[in-house]
Amino acid sequence: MTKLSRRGFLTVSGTTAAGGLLAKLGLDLGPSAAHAEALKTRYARESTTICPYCGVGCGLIVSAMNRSVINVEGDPDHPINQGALCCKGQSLYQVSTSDRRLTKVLYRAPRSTEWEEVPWEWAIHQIADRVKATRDASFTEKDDQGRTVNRTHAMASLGGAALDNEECYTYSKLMRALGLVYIEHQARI
Amino acid sequence: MAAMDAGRDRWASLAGRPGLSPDILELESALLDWRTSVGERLEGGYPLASADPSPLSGLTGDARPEELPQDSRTPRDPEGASRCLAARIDPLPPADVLFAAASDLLALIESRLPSCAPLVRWWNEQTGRDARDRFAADWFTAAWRRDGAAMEGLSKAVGLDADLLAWCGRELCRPFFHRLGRLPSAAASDPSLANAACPVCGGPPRMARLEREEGHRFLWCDLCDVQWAFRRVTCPFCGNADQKELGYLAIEGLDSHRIDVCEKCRGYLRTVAERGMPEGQRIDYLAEDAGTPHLCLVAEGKGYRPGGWERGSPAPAASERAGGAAAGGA
Repeated sequence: MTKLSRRGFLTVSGTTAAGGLLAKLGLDLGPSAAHAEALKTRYARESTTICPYCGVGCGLIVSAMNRSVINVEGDPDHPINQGALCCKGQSLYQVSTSDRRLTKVLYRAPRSTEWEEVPWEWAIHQIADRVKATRDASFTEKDDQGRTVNRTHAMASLGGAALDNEECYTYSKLMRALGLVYIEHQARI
Repeated sequence: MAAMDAGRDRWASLAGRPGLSPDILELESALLDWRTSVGERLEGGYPLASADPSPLSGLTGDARPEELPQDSRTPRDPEGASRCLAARIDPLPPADVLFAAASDLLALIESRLPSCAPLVRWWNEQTGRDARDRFAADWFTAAWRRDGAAMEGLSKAVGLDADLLAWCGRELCRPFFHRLGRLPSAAASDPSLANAACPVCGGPPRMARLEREEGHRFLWCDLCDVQWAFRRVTCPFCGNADQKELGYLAIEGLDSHRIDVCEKCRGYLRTVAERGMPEGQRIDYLAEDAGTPHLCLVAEGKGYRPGGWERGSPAPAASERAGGAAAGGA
């Protein structure tokens, strides 16, 4: 007689449970086994996170497979949105998957009407050079009343909504260090 | 007879499913007919063997399955969520009701499952009613309580493998527990969504459903045919909420089904995603359960096991999800 382990007993908790039980019952498992073998499965994972787009803070469930996002949906257990999302939130997965997303740096020179592809290194140096030049030309150490302000009004920062908390923190630190006063982010709306 | 005809339609719709052997289909169809006939005998309400039926007073409404609020997310009976219905009453039916149901079931088993012949032989060899009544009561109770030790004792007495006896016993319980599950306040969801145990029998879920509209997860018990709401990203079997240890097996070309798995307890749960089903189609849990044995084989082939927890221990509480209500944006 089969010794009944706890796990063994759990497998008999229903009509068509484990393959072993069906075989023990004498049922023909051939078609099921053949079909199971033909099925292709892929392992996916769900993670909960927060929508970056605005200050409401809706909960999301992001499904990922092989390090790629395959679905984003409202988290039904989240107390704020209870599974619902606005149209912008519903399209959030495109941040990761849209084929219209830029993957190379495009540059449009002053007075040009054409975009041209440029290397990352060139672009980053250009940005650094222009930020430095503008900051140096406009930097104010003290205001009219002699108070130390160390700021520039010649530049502003607009943070993108898809930046996460950590990116925003780092970004904000950098902007403050440069002396920017106008630092804005989409999630403030 | 309408219910029986509906049942036949249900299995007829399964006939074309790939991977379903005629053996399984015919057995499920016969069992459904038997459950329907037992259920029809219980139309007047749920009968109890115990002298005091007061726990069920007020619950003996004649609600039909289609009248139950299938998608309700509002807990209808918070009290019922903390303690399952069967724990508050003794669901054992009167001896004559149980005897009739067991005799019919064993006749069905005799004609379709030679593997269970020792049980049928033992039953038929008993000369009086007493021994069979006692056995049926113990068998019924051990089966719904998932009491492995009691089932082992009974299996020795009748000479049938304990797994098979437990399976047959669970079938015996089903029409009665389906009836309990139809009582208006039987199926209540814990408002915290943290209770994975069936609100009627206290057992683990058999399948799950992700509803179309907002993606809520409902667990389903095959013994009682009830569903209740539970958290999405938490293992219902061990309470694990670590998202790095939870995943699912997506099936290529089949958006309507997936197999949720937990790497901590290695349990699996077949899940039907309504968003992958044609618009307007509703899930038929009984048909889905009977029609997807291949998903069990897929999961078990990858080393996962049907999920559950030890009898007597409460369903594990889902640990609080970290960061669930963090401030939005930056």
